[in-house]
Amino acid sequence: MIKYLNVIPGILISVSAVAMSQNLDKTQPMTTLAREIVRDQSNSDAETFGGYLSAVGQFVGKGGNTVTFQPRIFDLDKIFCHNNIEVDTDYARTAWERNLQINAGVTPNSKNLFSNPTNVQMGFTFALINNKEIPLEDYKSVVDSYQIYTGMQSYLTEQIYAIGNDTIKTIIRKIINHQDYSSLPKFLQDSVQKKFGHSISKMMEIPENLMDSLSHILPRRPQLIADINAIHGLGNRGEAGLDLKVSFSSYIFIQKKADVDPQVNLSASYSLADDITQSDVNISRSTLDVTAGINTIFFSRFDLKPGISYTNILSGLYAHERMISYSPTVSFLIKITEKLVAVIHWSYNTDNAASTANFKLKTSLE
Amino acid sequence: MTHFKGTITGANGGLMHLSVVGPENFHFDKNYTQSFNEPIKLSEGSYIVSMQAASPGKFVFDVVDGYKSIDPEVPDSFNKSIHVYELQV
Repeated sequence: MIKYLNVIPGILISVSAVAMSQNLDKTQPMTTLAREIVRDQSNSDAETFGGYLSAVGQFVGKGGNTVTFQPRIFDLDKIFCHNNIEVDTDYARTAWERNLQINAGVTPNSKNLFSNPTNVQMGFTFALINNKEIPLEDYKSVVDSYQIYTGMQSYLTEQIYAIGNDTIKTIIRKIINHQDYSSLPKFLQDSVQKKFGHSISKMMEIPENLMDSLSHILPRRPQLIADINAIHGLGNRGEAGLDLKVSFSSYIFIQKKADVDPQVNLSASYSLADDITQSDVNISRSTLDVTAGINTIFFSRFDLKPGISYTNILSGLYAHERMISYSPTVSFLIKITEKLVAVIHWSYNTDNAASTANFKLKTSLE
Repeated sequence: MTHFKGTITGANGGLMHLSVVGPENFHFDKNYTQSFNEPIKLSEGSYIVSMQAASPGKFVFDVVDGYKSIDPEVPDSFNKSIHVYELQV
């Protein structure tokens, strides 16, 4: 049996390291806004490729016995070469670094986690279409809008200072502090309108609108991912093979964010492997998986995603195995802190009446 | 030296902007993230200080040393808005 094709139960711990630049320069608002935009994504979105908790390492504990490291090239660049690099540093040039992930893993034997591994795995994941990233034009728009907003703040401060009457000055200050912008004197309203082309009330909504539009729409956009992973058995143990996989995921309603949110994942995979049950026999196997789930968010901290998975084994069917099977799945995600997410994933295979579960912790070392 | 301090808690990044306008065309503007402690040398006189916290999360603003009075009083706490202060140095 080709074990590595199955979901492996166990404990997954993944770590991401995104060092934070302390330099304050003109790109800082963009970096911070970008980070907050992705932070506002749901826990489920954190699981996607390039999500805000991008995985640098994963560990599958006892039961699965697989240790894998999955850094994006961008993360490696940040850790080993340019520790001041931010997501907006040379944004266009570093796109390929953000879209390419290395998958390296080792499966220790069941008795000793750190010696005599059974097999090693190596591969790549590449985001062919990564619409969850902020497009360059939106990025520029974020910066421009925030600069206009701070420009208005600076202008307002100057205008208030220039008012000769201390009583009026105090009244205006109190109106602003109570966010009752429509009550501000007409001369101030007109002055801002003339200089910035928008009312003070409208200008004050800029940061929230920026966050809302990008943080709601970006995670919902489609993503197309290609994986190529090789496994090599060591000694006379384990199995060997090559796995090719193309996955597509998207929300159904991209433009709006609802508490109950349908999500669809499709994947097609092709595997070429040595079957260890029949020595010297190469098995090629292709499968089609379609998973549809409905993500529900509770209290901004919990995601529950029940779904159903359809599997069609197009070729390489084993004896006593059904060509088509359906598996109910449930994912429960908890945002423990802003930088720590726990995921429990359960699935039930109706073909062999077996259920599998895994527990994963993802954190950021920012 | 007057120290302007601010911290946002509960936000991953926390974006802030300080603007200080005073006598003799004094105008100070700066962006900050997460927290800051900005010492500014202010000459005697009246100033208008505006502090903006654009990020979600609790923002606490304080001014320490080198001033006679400030209205409203500090430390002050707000989120996702601009607060304006009258500062006497």
